[in-house]
This record gives sequence, structure tokens and C-alpha cells, in this order.
Amino acid sequence: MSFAWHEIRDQIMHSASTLSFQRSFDAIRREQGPVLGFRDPAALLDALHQKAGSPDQKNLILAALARAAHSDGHTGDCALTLMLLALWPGLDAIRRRCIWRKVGTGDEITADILGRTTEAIRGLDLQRVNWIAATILRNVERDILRAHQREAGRQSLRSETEPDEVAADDGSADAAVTEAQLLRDLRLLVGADAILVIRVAVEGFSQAEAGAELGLSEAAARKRYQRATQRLRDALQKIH
Amino acid sequence: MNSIADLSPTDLKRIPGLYRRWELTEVFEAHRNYQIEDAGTHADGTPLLAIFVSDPVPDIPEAS
Repeated sequence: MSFAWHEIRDQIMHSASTLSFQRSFDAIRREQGPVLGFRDPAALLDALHQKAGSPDQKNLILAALARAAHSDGHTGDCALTLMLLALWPGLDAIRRRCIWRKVGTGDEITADILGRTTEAIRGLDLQRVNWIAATILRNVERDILRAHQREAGRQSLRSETEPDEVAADDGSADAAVTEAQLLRDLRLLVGADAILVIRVAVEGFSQAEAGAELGLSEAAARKRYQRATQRLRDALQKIH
Repeated sequence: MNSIADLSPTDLKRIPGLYRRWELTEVFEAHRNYQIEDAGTHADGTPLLAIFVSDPVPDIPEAS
């Protein structure tokens, strides 16, 4: 059975609005201090999703939910559901990037993301993790890409035909070629900032995330991205 | 009329928002079950309520 991504979220939201869920949420509130101030799941999710909130406070709430998610029964399920909803914007971004990279079909990616996220939340070592959301999202995406690369490697080893003759069944080879061509073309126009442009404009990472990967501060990444996109605009104007 | 014992908490879905007691009559519909929960107080001190509602239930005729 196939479910659209947004339908899964609607289904989870629906289960989070029942009286039994509220009862489990009340049990978490009694046990976990940072959650105590929120009367219902909607208030908690609003606080976690608003941009203005303190990152430290949000992290405390997520740590409390992760602790509760390690318990059995309805309370653990309730905390896990809240964590999934809290992380949904990040999971959505991972899904978009996986689809762009042709990691699998939409349904495969959806199942992979939800399965790995559930596993990551349940198995989170709170003694070792500082930033809950960033760690879970980064690990889920890294593990999906690694698994895809391993599988692609196995497929190419098993193949009896020459790689050049294969018409990329899953599209991953096409994607790799396209990415390499794009990078080469962009390098001609914007030089070393080509990777930064691809990470932000094509793959959907934020400027801060792409900057961190490349060892740049957020301000430096923003400045270099603006300069690179300006060069691209200038190049396009010359063409027209 | 059904008592709450007949209902599973998973059957009752939250109606978005919080309500004052005198607003309940505008919310209630026939052939549905409701669970009213305390939801704190408004800034002006008025008690607020959260409402959970069931899907419509068939009308059961009373035994003669």
C-alpha cells in the first residue's frame, strides 16, 4: 500500500489529537520537566517549530521527549510520535534531497526515512549527544546515502555487462553524471563556490549547513553564495 | 445516552482551540459523544476547556 508523504503526516497528526494521546502526553508532562509547561501536543509543537524560540530550550524539550521515547507502552509511543512531528520539517528536507539524488522510489525513501528516524530516536544515547535534532537528522541522511552507495556498489560488481552499456535502471548513474557535469559547468562560472551553489540551490541545504560542510562560517557562506549567484546572473545576461 | 465507559479514548478527537463554558452549547451537536477536559485559565481568569468529540453515533431507540 502506498501513502503520500503528506498523508502520513496527516495520519500521525490525527493520532496525536485523540484523548488517549492527550492522556499519554499528560503522563510525559508529569515526568519530564521541560514539557510540563505545555498543556497539549499542539502547544509543544508550536514552540518547537517557531523560529524565534531559544535553541537551547528546544533542545531540552527534545531531550526530554527522547528520554520518554525510550520507555515502553503508550508513553514511549506518544513521545516518539511527538519527536517525528517535531523533526518533520527536517525529515521533509531529507526526503527532497534523497529524491533529487534518486536514492530510490518515493515510497522506498519514505519508508527508509521513517524507519531509520524511529530507530535513531529509540537508540539515541543521551549521554553522548548534545544537539538532538541535528544529530538525528544528520545520521539518518548519512545512513541512507551510505546504504544507497553500498547497494549501488554491489549492483555494479554483480553486473555482467560493461558499465557503459548499462542504461541506469534506477537512475543513480544518470544522477551522478548530471551532478558531475553540473559541477564542472558551474566551476567554469563561479570557481570554487560551485559546490556551495549546488548544495544550496540544487540539494536544498541551508547556507549555514553547506558552509559548515565546507568549513565556512554562516556569514562567509552567505557572502560567497551571494557573490556566486550574482556571477551566474551576469553570465545569464550575457547569454541573453 | 452512552456513558464514557462505552468509549475508547482513541475514538475521541480533539476539537482545535480552547473554549469557555458558555461556548459549549454552540459546539455540541446531536448524536456525538464529548469529553470535556480542564485546560487552564484565560488571562482574565476565565476557566478554559478542551473538547474531545466522537464520530456521530447511531440513535439507539429506548426499550419500551
